[in-house]
Amino acid sequence: MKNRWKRLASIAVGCVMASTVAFGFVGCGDKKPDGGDNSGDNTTYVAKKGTYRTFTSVMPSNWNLMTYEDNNDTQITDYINSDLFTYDYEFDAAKGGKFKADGSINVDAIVDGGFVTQYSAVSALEDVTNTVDAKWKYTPDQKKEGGYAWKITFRDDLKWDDGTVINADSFVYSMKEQLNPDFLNFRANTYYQTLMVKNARNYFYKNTDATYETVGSLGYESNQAAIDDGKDILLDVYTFYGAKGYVDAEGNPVAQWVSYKDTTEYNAPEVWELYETYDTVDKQEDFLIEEGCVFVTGIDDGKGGTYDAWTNGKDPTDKEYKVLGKTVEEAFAVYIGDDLFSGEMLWEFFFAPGAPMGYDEYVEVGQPYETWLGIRVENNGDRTVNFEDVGFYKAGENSVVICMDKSYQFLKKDGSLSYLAAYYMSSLPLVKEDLYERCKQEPTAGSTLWTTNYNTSKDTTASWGPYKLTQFQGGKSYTLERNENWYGYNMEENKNQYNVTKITCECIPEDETQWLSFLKGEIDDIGLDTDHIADYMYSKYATFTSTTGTYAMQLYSNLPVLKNNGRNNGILAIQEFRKAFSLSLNRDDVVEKIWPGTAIANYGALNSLYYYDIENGKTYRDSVQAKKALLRVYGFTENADGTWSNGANISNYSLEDAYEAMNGFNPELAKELLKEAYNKLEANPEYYGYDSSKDIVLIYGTQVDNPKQRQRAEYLQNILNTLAKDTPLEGKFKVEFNGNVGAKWGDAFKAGAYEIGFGFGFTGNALNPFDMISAFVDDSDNLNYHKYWKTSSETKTFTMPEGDYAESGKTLTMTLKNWFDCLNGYAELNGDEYTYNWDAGKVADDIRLEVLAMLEETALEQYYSVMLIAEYNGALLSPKFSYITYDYNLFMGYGGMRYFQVNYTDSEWTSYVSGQGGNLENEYKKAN
Amino acid sequence: MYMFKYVLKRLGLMLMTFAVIMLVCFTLIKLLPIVVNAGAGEDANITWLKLEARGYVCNFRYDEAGNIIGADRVPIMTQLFYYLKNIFLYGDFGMGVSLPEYRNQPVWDVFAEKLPPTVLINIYSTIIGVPIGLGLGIIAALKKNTWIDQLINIIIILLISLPSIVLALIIQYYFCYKLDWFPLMMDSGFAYFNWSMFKSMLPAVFALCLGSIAGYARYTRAELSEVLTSEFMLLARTKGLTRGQATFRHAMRNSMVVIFPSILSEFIAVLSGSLVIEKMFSIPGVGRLYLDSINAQDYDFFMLLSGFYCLVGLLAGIVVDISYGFIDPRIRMGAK
Repeated sequence: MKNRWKRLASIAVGCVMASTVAFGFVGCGDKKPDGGDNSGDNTTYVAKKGTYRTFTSVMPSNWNLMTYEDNNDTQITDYINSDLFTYDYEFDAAKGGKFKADGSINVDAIVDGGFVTQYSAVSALEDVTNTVDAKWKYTPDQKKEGGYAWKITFRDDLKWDDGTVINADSFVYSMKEQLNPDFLNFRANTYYQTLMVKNARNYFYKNTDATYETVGSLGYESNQAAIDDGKDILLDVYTFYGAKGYVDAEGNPVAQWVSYKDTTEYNAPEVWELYETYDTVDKQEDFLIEEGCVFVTGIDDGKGGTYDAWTNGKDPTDKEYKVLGKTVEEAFAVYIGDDLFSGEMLWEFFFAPGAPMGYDEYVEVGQPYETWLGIRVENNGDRTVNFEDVGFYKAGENSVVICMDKSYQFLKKDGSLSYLAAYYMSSLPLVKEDLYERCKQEPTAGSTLWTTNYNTSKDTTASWGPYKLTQFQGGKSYTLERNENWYGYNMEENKNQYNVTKITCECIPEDETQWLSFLKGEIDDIGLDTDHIADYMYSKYATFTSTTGTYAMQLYSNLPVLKNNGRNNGILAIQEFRKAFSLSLNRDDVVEKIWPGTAIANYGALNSLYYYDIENGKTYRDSVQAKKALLRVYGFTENADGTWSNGANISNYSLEDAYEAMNGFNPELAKELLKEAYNKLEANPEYYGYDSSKDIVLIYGTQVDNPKQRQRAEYLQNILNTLAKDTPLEGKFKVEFNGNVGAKWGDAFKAGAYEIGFGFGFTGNALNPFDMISAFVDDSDNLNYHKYWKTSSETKTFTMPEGDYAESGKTLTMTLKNWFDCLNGYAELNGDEYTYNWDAGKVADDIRLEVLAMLEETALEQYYSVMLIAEYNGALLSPKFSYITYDYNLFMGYGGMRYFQVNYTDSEWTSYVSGQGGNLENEYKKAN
Repeated sequence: MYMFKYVLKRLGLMLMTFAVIMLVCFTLIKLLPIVVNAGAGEDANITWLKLEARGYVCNFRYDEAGNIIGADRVPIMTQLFYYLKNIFLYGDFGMGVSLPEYRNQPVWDVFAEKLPPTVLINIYSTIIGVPIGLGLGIIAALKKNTWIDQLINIIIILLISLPSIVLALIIQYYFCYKLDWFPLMMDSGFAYFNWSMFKSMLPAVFALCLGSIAGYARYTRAELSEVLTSEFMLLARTKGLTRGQATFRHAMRNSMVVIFPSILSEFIAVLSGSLVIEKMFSIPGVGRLYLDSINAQDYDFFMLLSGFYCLVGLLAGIVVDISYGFIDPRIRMGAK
């Protein structure tokens, strides 16, 4: 859960970028925010103005930034709010900069792929970690690192659409309401999970749960002083001891916090079971011998002497050689990973004054690990966390300070804005105080929840963005018009932009109606779906854009569920079968037959739109590490000379050539693997629940029953028929279609209701591939379709690449989840066993790429997710408008509404459509 | 007096039936398992806590990481008590909670806003459909077994055979798109009684009423054909009534005993809105609301809509029963 918010932030960025194509806005920026000329001054160029007409399938309902729950709502939030920081194209000064002499945009100066981060509603940003009040308790190390506390100064001309002034008080009021515990606003977690504002979580949850406060924060000088005062000190055994998942002898799970006086003994569940099974010394000795352990005499003690002990049976030169113990009990305990503890034991052994391990001084008040100990503070009404304790406060008429528990480097070393500023903090909650107060709804009978209808209708909406809501009809339409009180229109950087004066949006749920409306010239944009792609693929009005959408064929492979589903499909639990299925799929054919014109073949867990070096535009997929990982997954091996071969038709290719030649399609090898899978099935029919007299049935599940989905099921049936031909499984596979798995199709798949999820995947988070891989290797991630694969216990050994960091060259063994957490700097926060921190900036990108590639390779080799396609969106834009550039930019899209060029005014457009006979179908089919 | 007592009795029974149905609805929807899923970047605990604060769940169960993984349901009767209290004391039917398009909006306001388009289209459909349907049926019956009858029969069969979605597609493609006689979609706004709005509703009205026209015509033809051959019709003619007089004064009235309830039931059926037609012509009606409220498990929307449709159905039953007495004087409800 921790830091998963980071992903949303990036998804939000993704949404903004995506919306720039369809109907989005990006805020505008100005390096000199207090200055700026009116756009009409000193220019001769006058851009045409017009209304942009778009549509939506689902109307927004709640465009309150504090409470919105889905992306439909961002249709309006994007327009009526301003960005604190924003992105813009990079314009080449040598080519004349952003504007031509007549004031028009100098398109030729746009730097391909370039971007700049600019101030928008904020005029200044200052790192104040060193100077904030001592109450925020930043350590010397944190002060040295910086980035924890920021002073944000807003422009002094911010106004609501009715002219009401916006200042620091407005932001402080809004943050207080965002975190208001009476409302439980849905987006509050942005400020305690993403930005980690100090005490935000405690304040937000103050009505609901208890918290564990450090001893020092409750006014005690030492741990002993708290004990003397009768306080019960609790130990965070998840963080300190990695005891998450441990149980007591009765199987009750251990809580995160355990009293220092608690004598209940906890251990890993499997250890308890082993002790139960091997309950005598003789049995334990037999076990050790069965496991290959041996009793060795004369082991060198390194001090010139020898001793006798049990070892794990490996050769002493082997890296895995381990001495277990001198007695059977000791050796047994070590071998099975006995980790028995109680709160009292830990206290006495580690933390009590004078404890043998001597940790007491590290957990004392004010010491680095004081958070390992806590005192439970009940939220029973007499405990108050005031908003004044939250790390967000007014610092001046137009400035606030935000104090966080995590460091963010919003400024580069030269003092300019980093892309992270607009990435993590493009907005802060802001509501219009008087209107918000009026919109508050008291709890009804039986409820304690306050609610608000702020920003749910025209009358309850206030805007401080480039547009304001002027009409809204639920389930039908809305209209946005220029907000003349928006500060951005006075900024020099924005002149001759925002030429769209009005946006109308109609709710058109039916696809065919959308198309007819577009062809009649009534709406200005539409996405190209598979029904229309053939007709409009070469249209001069079409644009095609790669997205982060990465989709796979998901194969449900959890044996205990498969065995009991009555479909005789335990073969799915055999890795060779899944791999054979994967190798039978010709991705190019899949694209052509299933997703023509809307996708391209994709082999990686993350497609080619994931950037690891934002400033320099480098993508993960283009990295050497990623390419090597994929080649290995798809059957290539690296030769001693660095060339690559696949054991079949490709020999000694260079990395680039081999990567280019890789297509993941190998029907011959697939057949061999199927035979291997069959042999396993035949050898252990009971284990796999296999009945050779019955067909192997795989359910292909979808939310809707339509010809397209049935065609896909048929396609897969043909693939399996071809795969099984001339094997003992010929004719055994039956793909059954179920078009009624419901709206919660993802949950149904995860529960094993059906076995094939075709085209399931994810999109978003383009700027953080390291985090996105969690969809495969974090068994608690909501995007993970295979949570039964316990990555929190499955270990992986990997030798860290050489480099300038502590773990350089070390061979480490950790759970996959732990690897992931280390890669993203979550390990300590999540209480993992190993707490290495290889987050961005902590180690070089090359190191991180190696670990990411290892995780990707490990995940793909399971073949739970058989990667298929990367999304490729096609869209048509009416001739009424054109983009400023048709070169897609990661941060700017095609320029969005801000840079739209209006080719026809509204009246001209009406004439144009009439001139075409009221039907633009032929026009839209014209090629360049 | 008999009629009055009968109506009172029926109303009393109706209220009892209504209460039982609503109790069952409330219980069943509340018995559905509560599933809370958090998307990327969301905190499921907030959703759980909101459910608790709304009085739906209690006694959370946590996983090791402190995430809420389940809760007990607050007793359904307790929830029902508060639900009824809010309605009867404060006129509050609740707020949209999980229906994506209507979160944080009072369910009554949404319902009241969305009902008029559905009702209007239904009324227009009936106003246009009934006379045409009856007219065609009468002509077919009067011209039975002539080419006119055959032609009408062919039209009836065609209209009955084609699902309304196909009719809607044809109307939309040819009349709205190709010929440009009507707009593709219903106009926005709440000014329902102007020419532009009426015109924008017509494609949906036609799509809805064409099927009804066929139904009315079929019923009318069948009933009227039978009645026209009755002995009392011969008597009426021999008494000196013209064919038209005999048909409209006697035959039609007798036929209506069957036809009128069908008109009423058709009206009620359409009142619930047509999911397909409303989607196709972008009509902001109630068609999708009921189904969506069940899918989204939005209790307050579900209960309000269940109550509305239940009440309409029960009232219609009474109205149909009573109407028999007016259509056919031989039928007297409640008479011993």
